[in-house]
Amino acid sequence: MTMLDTLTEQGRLWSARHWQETRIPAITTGLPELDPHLPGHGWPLGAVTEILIDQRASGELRLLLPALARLSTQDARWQLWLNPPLHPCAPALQQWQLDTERVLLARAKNANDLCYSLEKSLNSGGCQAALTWCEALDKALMRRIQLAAERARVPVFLLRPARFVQQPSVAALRVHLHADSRLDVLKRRAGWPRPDISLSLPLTPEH
Amino acid sequence: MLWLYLHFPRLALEAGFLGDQRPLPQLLLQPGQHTVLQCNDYARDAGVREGMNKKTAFCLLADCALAEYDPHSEQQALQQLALQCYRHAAQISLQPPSGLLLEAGSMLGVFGGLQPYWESTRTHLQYSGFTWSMSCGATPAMARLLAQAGIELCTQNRTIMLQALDTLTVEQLDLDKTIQTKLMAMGIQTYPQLKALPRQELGFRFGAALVTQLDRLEQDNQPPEQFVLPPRFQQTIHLNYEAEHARGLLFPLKRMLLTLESYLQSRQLLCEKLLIKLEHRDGRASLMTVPSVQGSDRQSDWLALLDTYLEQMTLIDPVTAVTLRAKDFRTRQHDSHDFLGDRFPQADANRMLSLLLARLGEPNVRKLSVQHDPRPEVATGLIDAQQSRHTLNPKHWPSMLWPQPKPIDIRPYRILSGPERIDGGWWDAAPTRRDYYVAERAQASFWVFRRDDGQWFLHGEFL
Repeated sequence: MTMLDTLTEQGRLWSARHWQETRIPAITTGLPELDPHLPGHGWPLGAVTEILIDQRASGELRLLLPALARLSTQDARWQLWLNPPLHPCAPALQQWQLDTERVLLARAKNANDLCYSLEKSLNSGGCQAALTWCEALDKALMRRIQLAAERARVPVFLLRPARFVQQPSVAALRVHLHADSRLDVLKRRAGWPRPDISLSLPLTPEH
Repeated sequence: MLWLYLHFPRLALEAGFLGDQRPLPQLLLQPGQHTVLQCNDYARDAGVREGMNKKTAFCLLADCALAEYDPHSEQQALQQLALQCYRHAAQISLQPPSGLLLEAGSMLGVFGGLQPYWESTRTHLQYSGFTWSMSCGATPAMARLLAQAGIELCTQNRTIMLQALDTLTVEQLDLDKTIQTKLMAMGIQTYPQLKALPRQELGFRFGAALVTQLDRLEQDNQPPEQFVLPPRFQQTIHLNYEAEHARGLLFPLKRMLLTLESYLQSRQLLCEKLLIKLEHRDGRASLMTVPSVQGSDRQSDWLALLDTYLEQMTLIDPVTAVTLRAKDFRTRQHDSHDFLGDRFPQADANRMLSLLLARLGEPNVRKLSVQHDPRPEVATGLIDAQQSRHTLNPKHWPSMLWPQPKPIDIRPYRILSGPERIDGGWWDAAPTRRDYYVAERAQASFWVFRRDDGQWFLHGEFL
């Protein structure tokens, strides 16, 4: 197999005409207006997704909850929530159909502890998804997280303030969520950036 | 019957330096005497020999590490070795001071022949940190003499064994020293010479003990006293140097964990907790407890956890001795595995939890708990990650709550919906009556409430 084939298969190389056919393992976001714009039609598995937000409480968790809820009922592994800014409210999460028994909350004091916990959790094989609130992360740490995510083949989400938009990132998918529920795809595998996707992110689940 | 004898010629020396990985010549001295009892290869390369005067040895060596002969630690080491070999013998017996006797005959079926059995024992001992020589024999004494002489026979053929025995000198027969000297003075130098002498005459001249000893060499199958697994596991390693960094303890601990692994596997148990005692130079001691959520018998699992603990640890004073004790044994259960049977989600999840607890500490790793209560702050809570209390109480509330409701000025907020009255707690000490509203401020969504007295509070955020 040539290197070109290998790269194409991994989704690192794509031809403009066939970008949607590139195979990238992913899980659906549960948001029909977002899926078509993401490679693999969903949040990538085995890669870091970076979600940049203008301010807290603009829908960053509601963006992820449909996918997280589906994952939580799949197996008995942990869903790691690292450094959430406030106390997660379990009854509300249950309303989103999330199995709260799967959620493991952890608090890391510094970037080193955070990276270590994330890396070890992913490598242990006991983690189905990881959700991390963080600020500055240096490139080496970020790279380690990305490698661990690739090995573990689980989705890893980093929630960061939008002031890091200009900073280069190794995340496979980067999106910027605005407070008015508009989303820009800043970087994706097998595709160009795609700004301005309107989403509807209800405050509580509609069912 | 077939016996396998393991002889550890430097047992006392290597037991004394078990925690030491410096490439230095090591000498073992007998307290109160002037000769070198045992020495390692570095010392031998420099020309030091066992039995040499210690002053001569010091002249030959630029630098060396010294230890005194300690029969207690030698015995302890022999026991640990017996633990490690436990799975390689139906019967095992300690042969103090420095040998182990394994009944090999009945194990050959399990291992598929003598050669694989021999190889397996060899690989098993490779990482024990001890030098050894081993030999098969038709009787325990035969196996012992051959192993001590360094003749490593891997055979079941009696004729070959007897031939090998014939090459031994009288000094190698482990006889009483005075008898040995007398025999040598009489010109009897080798085993065949001794064997040829009439037994009756020998008995008359040297006593019945010698005759019995010679008889048992070729015809004896009396099983010696059997080694039984102790009910608890404990091992101490004295460091010959002072460990100043916590990571430096990993090496001696690794050795002990290997023995623990054999011990646990022999007893078919899992261990849930390790207790580690560090003795410091100034006489103080620190204790460390290392729990594992699911329990484990594998060295690699414990090593990964210990690595995490030690990485964060600062020693209050240099360490001179390490003791490892195992606590809370549990019988092994079958792990539940996934559909294909090639992964063990529950075991992996437990391992992940152990690692996080080790790194971040118990208060920083929690799980969510739910209670049936109308008050949001009571309905949701945090519990210890190893507990399980599953209740369902879904509510249309925001996904994140403030630890305490925060008094606010309502003017910059725009009310979107509400009110939702939450009234409860009249049955305990914290009665609550609040009207909750969903509000918006700068396009972010909040959950606010008004108390009866008109004061507004921010309680949650729709993340």
